[in-house]
Amino acid sequence: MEKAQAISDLEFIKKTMKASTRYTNIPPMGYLLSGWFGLAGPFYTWLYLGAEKVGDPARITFYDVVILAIAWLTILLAAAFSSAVFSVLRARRLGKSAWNSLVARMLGSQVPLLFAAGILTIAMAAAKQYSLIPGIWLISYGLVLFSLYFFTGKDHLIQSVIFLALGAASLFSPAQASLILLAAGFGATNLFFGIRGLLKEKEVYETGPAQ
Amino acid sequence: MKPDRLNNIIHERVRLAVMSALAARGKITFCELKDILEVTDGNLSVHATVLEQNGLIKIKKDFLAKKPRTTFSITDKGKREFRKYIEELATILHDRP
Repeated sequence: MEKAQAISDLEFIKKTMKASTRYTNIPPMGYLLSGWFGLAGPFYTWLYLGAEKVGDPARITFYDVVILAIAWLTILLAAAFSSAVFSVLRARRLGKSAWNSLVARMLGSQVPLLFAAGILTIAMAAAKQYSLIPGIWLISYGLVLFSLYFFTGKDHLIQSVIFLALGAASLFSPAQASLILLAAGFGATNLFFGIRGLLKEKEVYETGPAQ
Repeated sequence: MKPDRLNNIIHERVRLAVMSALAARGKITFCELKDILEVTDGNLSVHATVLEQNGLIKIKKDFLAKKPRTTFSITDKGKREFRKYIEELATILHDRP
């Protein structure tokens, strides 16, 4: 086999592997960025509330809730926007459309879950049960990932199990711990899968002609 | 020319594409794979059967909402052989002038 043929085969493998993940489509950089946002949220919450209010959520005021709601909505939109941008860029590189009927079905199937998570969050905040909110978010996201798994691959299943376990632990943990578990889920887990994705890509690219 | 050490089964364009997709995803449906690889039903079926007969992938048929569904998944042997195949390509790349 000629060297040129080996290069062509490796390029073909890389392209096919990337194309096959276009429905999951969030590239490692998307995960990494989401991971940083996922760490920033709990960190900001801790800084804003201070150790006393985090430890005793009954002291949290309505004003605190409004500020934190704005902060978390900003983080959620920023993470969703950056993931969408990375996905579109990736699809473009592959010469494919980022939007198709399967993606529409995948996202559409998540709407009831996201609605439920939103309503539960508002209900918990209204009942001043703030320490339960991280658990609800982690479990809801775990369920989203579990249903995505049927369209994608086992990475989403593993992530789903992690989020569900962290969520369950959070619901039965003290308030300080639930914030840490939130950071472990949306922060550390996303960062881990981002780094893992980069290493996986590198594994294939290392054999490529760019070396 | 194909060196002897490269896996004969994997070293075919459609089969290589199937293995690459499954190495990335682990499991994938027939329709999705056909769409990704842009091949015909018959072509994909023939090559998938060859891979299955050699223990590199598994083919599962079931029903989803009363519609037949075929799902491919990569076996442990398939993962090992695919990794070996890439390593061989890398060796060729680095050994040849």
